[in-house]
Amino acid sequence: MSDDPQNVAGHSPPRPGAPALPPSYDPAHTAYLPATNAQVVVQTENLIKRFGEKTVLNGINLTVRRGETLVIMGASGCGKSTLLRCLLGAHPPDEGSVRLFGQDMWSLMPPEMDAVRKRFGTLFQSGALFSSMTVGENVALPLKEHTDLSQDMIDLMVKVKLELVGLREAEDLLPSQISGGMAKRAGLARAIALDPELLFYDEPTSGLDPIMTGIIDGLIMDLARTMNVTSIVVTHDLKSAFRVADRMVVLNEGRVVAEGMPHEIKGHPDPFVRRFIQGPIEAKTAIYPKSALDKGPGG
Amino acid sequence: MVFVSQLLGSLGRLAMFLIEEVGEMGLLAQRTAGQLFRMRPDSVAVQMIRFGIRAIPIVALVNLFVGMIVAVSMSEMLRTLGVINWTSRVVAVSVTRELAPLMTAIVMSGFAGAAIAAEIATMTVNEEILALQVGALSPVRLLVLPRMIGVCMMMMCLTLIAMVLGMLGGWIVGTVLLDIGSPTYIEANNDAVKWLDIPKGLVKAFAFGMIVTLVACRQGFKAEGGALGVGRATTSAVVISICLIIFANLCFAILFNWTLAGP
Ligand SMILES: Nc1ncnc2c1ncn2[C@@H]1O[C@H](COP(=O)(O)OP(=O)(O)O)[C@@H](O)[C@H]1O
Ligand SMILES: [Mg+2]
Repeated sequence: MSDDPQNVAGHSPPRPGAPALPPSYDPAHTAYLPATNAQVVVQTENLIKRFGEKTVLNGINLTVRRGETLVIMGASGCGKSTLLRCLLGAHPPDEGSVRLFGQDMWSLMPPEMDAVRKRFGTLFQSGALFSSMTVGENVALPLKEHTDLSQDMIDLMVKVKLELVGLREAEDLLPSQISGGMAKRAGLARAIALDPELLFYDEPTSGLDPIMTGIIDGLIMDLARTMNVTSIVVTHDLKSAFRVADRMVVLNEGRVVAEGMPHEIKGHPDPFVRRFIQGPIEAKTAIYPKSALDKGPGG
Repeated sequence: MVFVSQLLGSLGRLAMFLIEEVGEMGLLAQRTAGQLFRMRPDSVAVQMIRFGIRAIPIVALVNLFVGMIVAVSMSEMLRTLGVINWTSRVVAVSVTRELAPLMTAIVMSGFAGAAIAAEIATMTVNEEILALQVGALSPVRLLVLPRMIGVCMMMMCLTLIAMVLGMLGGWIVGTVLLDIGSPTYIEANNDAVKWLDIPKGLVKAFAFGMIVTLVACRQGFKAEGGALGVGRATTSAVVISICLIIFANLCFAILFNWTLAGP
């Protein structure tokens, strides 16, 4: 993709011999924009999702191309997980369409749907490990069910995937015996068991300590860079969002209020986006208006 | 009057709810049947041990007591009529025909139904079911099918055990408390058992097993809202399956006693 002439004017891929960065580019960041003619992997058109009276998603348009990492940000409860579930084909949209690999999931017959599902992996917010199985068995399940590999091969693959997330020693533990961070990493090992082309992550770093967050972010970036996996990451953790994103969207009240490269989002004029990104600073002024501070304590 | 109309109203709502649930369970049963040929014997065996072998002591104990209760409670009337030796006949007929399948099913709705509902509801609220679905792993094939086959098979075995234990309970009461000679008791017992009642009982046991697993799985899949939702799913699974088991038993009673045998 980096060889694509159309990409030269855009942003540079993190590859040796990449063209010079444009002046507005944040040099600390290694995002790249895939060629505009790269294959569209996920596409939504005017996606609307309601729960009863409540419209959670109100006309979402997204296009994700092969190899890029899209981060979806937004406040808690704004519908990020709902959007992810619509993309996964777990919730039918009320209006509009969702296309994965060019196919509308809801027009497919179950066997074709399963064929699409085998092409992507998902890391759920809680890890969603199967609690009756050990970590190793969790990772082995997709391999056992969807491939013709021998038991020896499966055991080997499980070890490789667990090694990748640094969980070799936890293979024989039950999900109840491991920590939240380990459960997330184990969930990631299961998500990549079938070497998917596309990975969905639902808040991969929420509730983790900074070290574990760094490890998970590193895994997300490694998978994207070394295996050219297309990634869609839902998060409200700003630090990790800016670390992994090639492109970002911000959701508010069921709509995309901002979309662009990380540096574009950082300088975005939309008031909600600015409040979201600089949250704590403005919150202070909101809680203590200047007039109240002038009066001093007890005043 | 207000009380009566309120009572009728809530009965009506319960009936509507049960009918809707039965419809959903029918769909689930259909989807399960569609996966039948992809069954894995080892996962069925696991469920048979979990819900069958481990239930033997409790099913045996309950049915032993039930046989004893029937013998004790009938003995006074039979003595007045001068046919105390008929105790064994009353026990044998009531146990094989009705009580063993019914009591086993009710015990299993608690033993297996509650466990299955809690298990699947926990998986639902933990996104595990969602993870299976989006991983192209059918929850119906991996979870419902082995539980349904396992419970139905074991329900039939347990019902056979229950019949034997129920008659044993009657025999204990008859020989120890009512002073009926053991050979007399056993002879009358064997004379009274209609051997066709045993396969009929097994048919019922199979149907009750279907009810227990379908209700439990359905309640588990529709659970929402964390631990509270798991508790609610478990409770409603037991309540709904007992209601449906009793109702199905009534249907079987009409079918076996009037339709097949003639009034
Ligand atoms: N299955 C559901 N039924 C009804 N409402 C739901 C359901 N799932 C999510 N919601 C509602 O949709 C909104 C968005 O939820 P969610 O997508 O989980 O937010 P988040 O951005 O925190 O992931 C919430 O207000 C929630 O109450
Ligand atoms: Mg969420």
